[in-house]
Amino acid sequence: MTSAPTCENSEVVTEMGAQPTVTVATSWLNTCSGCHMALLDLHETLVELLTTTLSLRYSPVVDVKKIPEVDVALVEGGIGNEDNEAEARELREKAGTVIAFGSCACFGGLPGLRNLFDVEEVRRRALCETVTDGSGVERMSEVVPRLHGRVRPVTDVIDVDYAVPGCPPRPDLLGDAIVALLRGEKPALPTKNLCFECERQQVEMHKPQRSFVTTGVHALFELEEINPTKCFLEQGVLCIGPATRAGCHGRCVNANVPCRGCNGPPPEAMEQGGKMVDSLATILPAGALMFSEDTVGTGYRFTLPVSIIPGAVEGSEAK
Amino acid sequence: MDVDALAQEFAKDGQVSVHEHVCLTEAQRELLGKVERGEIDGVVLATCSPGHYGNSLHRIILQRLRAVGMNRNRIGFANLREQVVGPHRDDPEGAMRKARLLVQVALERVRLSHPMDSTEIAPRRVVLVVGATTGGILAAHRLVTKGYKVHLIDERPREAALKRVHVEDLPIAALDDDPRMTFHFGHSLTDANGWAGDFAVEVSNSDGKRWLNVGAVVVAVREQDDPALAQRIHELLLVELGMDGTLRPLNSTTLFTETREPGVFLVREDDVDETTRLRTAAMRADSAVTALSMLLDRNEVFHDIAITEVNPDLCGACGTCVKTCAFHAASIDAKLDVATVDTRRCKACGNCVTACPAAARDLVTYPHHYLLRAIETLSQYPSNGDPKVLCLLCDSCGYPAADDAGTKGLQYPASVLPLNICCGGRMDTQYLLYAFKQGFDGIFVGRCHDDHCRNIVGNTDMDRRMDLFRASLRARRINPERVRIWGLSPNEGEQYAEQVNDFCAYLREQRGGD
Repeated sequence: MTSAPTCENSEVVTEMGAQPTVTVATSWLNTCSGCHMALLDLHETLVELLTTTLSLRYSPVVDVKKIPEVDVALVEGGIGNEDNEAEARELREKAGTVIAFGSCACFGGLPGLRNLFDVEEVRRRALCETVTDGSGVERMSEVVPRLHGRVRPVTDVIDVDYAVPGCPPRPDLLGDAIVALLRGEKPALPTKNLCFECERQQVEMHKPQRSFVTTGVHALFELEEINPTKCFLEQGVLCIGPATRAGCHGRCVNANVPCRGCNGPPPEAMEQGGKMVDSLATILPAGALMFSEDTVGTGYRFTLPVSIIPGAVEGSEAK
Repeated sequence: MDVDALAQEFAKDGQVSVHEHVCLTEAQRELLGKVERGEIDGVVLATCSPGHYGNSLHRIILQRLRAVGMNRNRIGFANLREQVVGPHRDDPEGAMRKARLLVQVALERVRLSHPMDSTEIAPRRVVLVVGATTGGILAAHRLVTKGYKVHLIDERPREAALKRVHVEDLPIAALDDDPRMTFHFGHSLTDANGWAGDFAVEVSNSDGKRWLNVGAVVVAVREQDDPALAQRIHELLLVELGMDGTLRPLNSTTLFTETREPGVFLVREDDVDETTRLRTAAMRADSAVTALSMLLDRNEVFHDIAITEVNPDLCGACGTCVKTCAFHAASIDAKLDVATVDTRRCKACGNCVTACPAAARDLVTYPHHYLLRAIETLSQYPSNGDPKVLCLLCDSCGYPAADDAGTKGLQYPASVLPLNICCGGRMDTQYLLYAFKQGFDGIFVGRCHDDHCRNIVGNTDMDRRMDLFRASLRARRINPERVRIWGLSPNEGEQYAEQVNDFCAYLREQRGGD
């Protein structure tokens, strides 16, 4: 995390021409803009790309109102309102290649957790109850785009040529993906789960014994010390790595923070939250898990909009 | 029900040929001939239940189909007698609709399940007898006389064990001097793997342990005296344990010494009249030895290897399967960094498939894609006002209990649609969501009673998963009561009918309330 990530194929990019030849648009939809920040993490590589290969024609950081025709569009964020949807469709029309980047674009991401609530409830909470003037009154509602009932991933609305998940995505992966796509290749995402990339040591997890790997489940702050080389689950810390697709090279687990699942479910799993429950039930004491603060938000933190049932069922009442 | 009309419907699609009266010689010959000539790729027996143990017809047809080269997984069942005709007498139209879907699902299973590997072995003519009871000793004597090598183990020391039987009535001296006979007093059965014709069993005492290779096992224990031993036999040899703590035979009338595990036989010793005790024991020993020699006297036996497969491209070696498997069949190959399956230990219960967070595992017999397709197919049942219920039934208890209900003529709505999954442990939370998405009003899970799971922990793990998942349903505003889990025994048809009727009533009431 300390050294600047580099794009492995950047030499190839510079070979492609001294003048920027590839036109690019970037856009953020229903998201936090963190993925654009991750682009900045390309550091010098970004400068190199922008001076030699990529010509940035449309972006939140460029004051252009109309989307021009471009070779590549990078789309951050999911579809949460009618503006998002219109912009996504227009980008699809104007761009030769569309790359969905970041977990919101790929799976709906964190904002997708609002799918558990009615849209009116969300509006009230966001636009009335939490307004900073303390008035509790919704203002300017005529210019605020109409919220969709549900957050959807970009991939639900338009065809994308490639999706780079991650919250935020690794910039070098994004760089590699752009280069590969420009060459007409289809970059492949890893197919295994994160445990394959994780370097932490597993002992209990590989013992053929039916006992749980720990006696309790702990929040990070409850622990005085977190062993930096031992599997999180074996320390009683909830880690979504097993139900998460590899590809991030374990950025979080290497920084001694458990995986939260931003890379989405492994390719053959239908969804992340269900799989997390199915697997954790035999690893950690279920009783302790049941009383964890928010098993739903934990399992579906980034992927509720791509779940089998992607939110609350309309018109039904839970007991 | 107009079975002919249904058969004609399927015959129309050109890929299905209909064979009637398959229990009759001519029809069977014709069917087997077609299979032999390669004219048929799969067979769906759309008659009665695969689990109808009292009726050995299916076993025989299965064996004959296997003998002419049909893969076990290309043989499917649509249980029309017990699960359609029996329970829906008053609703011929609904019964017809349901029958159509059940045949379709059976066809899908035959088309989608992966071919099952099989192995051909020369059975070992060595037998392990567990328990120096009257029946055990008589069985050992008969086996030795027939030329088998016999190992007899009993946890008690010789003196204590023999004090419990009428030594003067039993041929102990002859056994002691027979070179084919070995007594292991003071030894316990501590591990086992393998299958009919080729088991490996571990016998231990305080001095150490040794592995014996045997072709079959005769269990001759008094469960009421040794509940822990009965439990161990259930866990190691997969003999079903009844609610009363006794080991369960295939049926109590014509197959009372055979168990659901081929190669494992019971010589039960329950309290009977003192005057008939010896005679009963002898009769049971005779029956077990007859059944056993039908297996071990063959030159070769087929064993279908129903196991879990691992896709190494998906497996990240996280170890979840290792923690989940109660049979110690899952391990991680440290060199390849991938999970492996011990074929001699895997019971194909599917618990690891459910647990695998990378979806890298699948069952050969009930593959994931088949189960999804089956849920889709059953969801097409045209609603006639009755709540649509998906019944996920375990092969050991839930499904036979539904059969039992049908056999007893108990009535419930035809919109209650059964799908057998091997075990409660295979109840994937993804299937619950998928079924609700497909429009089912409720999901009924019929599995073994608590602590009586055939696969030891399938029930426990399912309950844990469900306990955790209810929050996820609630968060989606799906009432978790729309999933009902019920423990059943194979003979509890009344319970099954009562529960599904009650569940339908509940769902109807809920719908009315919306």
